[in-house]
Amino acid sequence: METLTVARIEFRRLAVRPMVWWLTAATLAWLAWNFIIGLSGFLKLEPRLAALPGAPGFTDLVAVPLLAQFAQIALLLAPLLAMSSLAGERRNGTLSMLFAAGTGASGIVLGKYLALLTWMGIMLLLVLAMPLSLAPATALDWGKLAAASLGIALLLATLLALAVACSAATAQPALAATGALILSLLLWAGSLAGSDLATASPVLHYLTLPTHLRPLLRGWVDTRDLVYFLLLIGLALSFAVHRLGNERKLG
Amino acid sequence: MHSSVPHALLQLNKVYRRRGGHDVVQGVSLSLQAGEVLGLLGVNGAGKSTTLMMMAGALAADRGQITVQGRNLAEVPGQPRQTLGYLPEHAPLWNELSVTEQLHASGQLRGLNLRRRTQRSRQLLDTLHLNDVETRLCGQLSLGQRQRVGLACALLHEPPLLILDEPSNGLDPLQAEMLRNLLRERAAAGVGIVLSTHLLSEVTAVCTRVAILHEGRLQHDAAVAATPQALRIGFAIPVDVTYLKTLQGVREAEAEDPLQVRIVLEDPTQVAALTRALVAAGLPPVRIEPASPPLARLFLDIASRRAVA
Repeated sequence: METLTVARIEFRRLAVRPMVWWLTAATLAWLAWNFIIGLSGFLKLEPRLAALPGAPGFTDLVAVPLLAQFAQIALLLAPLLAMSSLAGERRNGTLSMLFAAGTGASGIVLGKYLALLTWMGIMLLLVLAMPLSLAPATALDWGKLAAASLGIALLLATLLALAVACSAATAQPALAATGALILSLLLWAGSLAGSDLATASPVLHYLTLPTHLRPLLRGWVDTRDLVYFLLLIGLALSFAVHRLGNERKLG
Repeated sequence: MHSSVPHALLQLNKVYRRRGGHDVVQGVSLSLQAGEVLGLLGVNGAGKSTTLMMMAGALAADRGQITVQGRNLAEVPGQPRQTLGYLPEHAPLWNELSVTEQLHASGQLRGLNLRRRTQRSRQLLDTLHLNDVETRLCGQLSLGQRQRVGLACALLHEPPLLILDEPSNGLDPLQAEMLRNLLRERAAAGVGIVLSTHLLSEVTAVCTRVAILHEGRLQHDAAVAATPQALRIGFAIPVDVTYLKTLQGVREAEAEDPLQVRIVLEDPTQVAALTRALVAAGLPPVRIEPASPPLARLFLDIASRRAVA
């Protein structure tokens, strides 16, 4: 119950912040522009593709790349959206107000995470609305699109959890955003190394986000990938709850 | 742990807290009954705010026990939701919310339903003269307005216990008087109030009891009315202070100069009896006036003590 209360308040606070609206609007505008470019490119290629058996379609060439772009933007977006969630509360002294209202550390962390997740979820739905708006006119691969959407949703949830954990560790939102960005980029770095990393260090390869995102974007849902994302989310949120719980003890 | 005062609204039992490598609160024990107003005094760094934060559940005690309505705060972490209202030193508000939204958010956290939140918000906006700013963002409020909004948040759910850390910060004299009236009215309704302040006049005007903290230790805890009355008496001829000390009702006598003595009475109503006794002894006073308030003297005495190594 207290989680939902905190989530409602946090969502309201997100909804009245100009910076949040600017970030959201800029992200959606950028993705809409890229969607149009991708679509026009696809329309040019479509006659030639139609002649090839098993050629990639609208989902492979427009919808999934759009989601992949959203994933890359989210590396920056998630830290910026979540940076004030706990660090800002600590800096403004409102954290003590939440504690004095009898709200537990888990209620605060989960409530804030839920609010951010809802905001990001709405953004994902708006991004998905772009390819879905053409569903009547194209042959969408629903299974592939669903798997890719699940992958992006899990990635967004993971990035937000990492950002909330960084926000729990400091009283400076800028520091929290920087920390979250560095952490996210480190976990993303595998995509830069490509297949070499898998050979050089299988453990590092396993730890990187793209290793588990790519199969989902290709339409392959593997339980191991889902578990990886859920584990990372669980670890990050546990750290945040633990850190906030210590606030009352060590504060 | 055994509670020395049964059914106390708030009870602190040998509470310790260390912060930033210092023992900020050391073995503080005190209790508060319903309807009592406890003034917590102390110089900056005496441990007042930390003590209040622990009372409010915003900070855990390292050792000792804090109970509210007989229940241990450490064992029932969600207990403060209904039972206490807390206003920290600088009213913590969400700057991006309007005053009304802030009050509603505070009410939600305290478990009030929409109807009750709306009703109580309206009442408090009226009482605390915040109607003009109800749609303004909290980040745009003046210090006094923020303080009143913070106070409204603390009062919203009508808690039986109020913990206020320097609530008159930034208030003008009229608003400060309004605050005092409000606190008296809440106390009369049975609410227990802990009030930390630097203003001794506020303590004498509102509080029924005063506690003085110094270097994390409780140095004084007594009813405000029990604080002795101090007088400055001028004489036409030099007087013997030793003789004055023997007079009935005189607790202390101290010569400030040969013709002026500072006297502390056991009971403030004994001024007339003392005057009669002085006249009868052939020492008619030429002037009687209140000396520096005894609470101020007591506070200064305690505050000037150095820590025992």
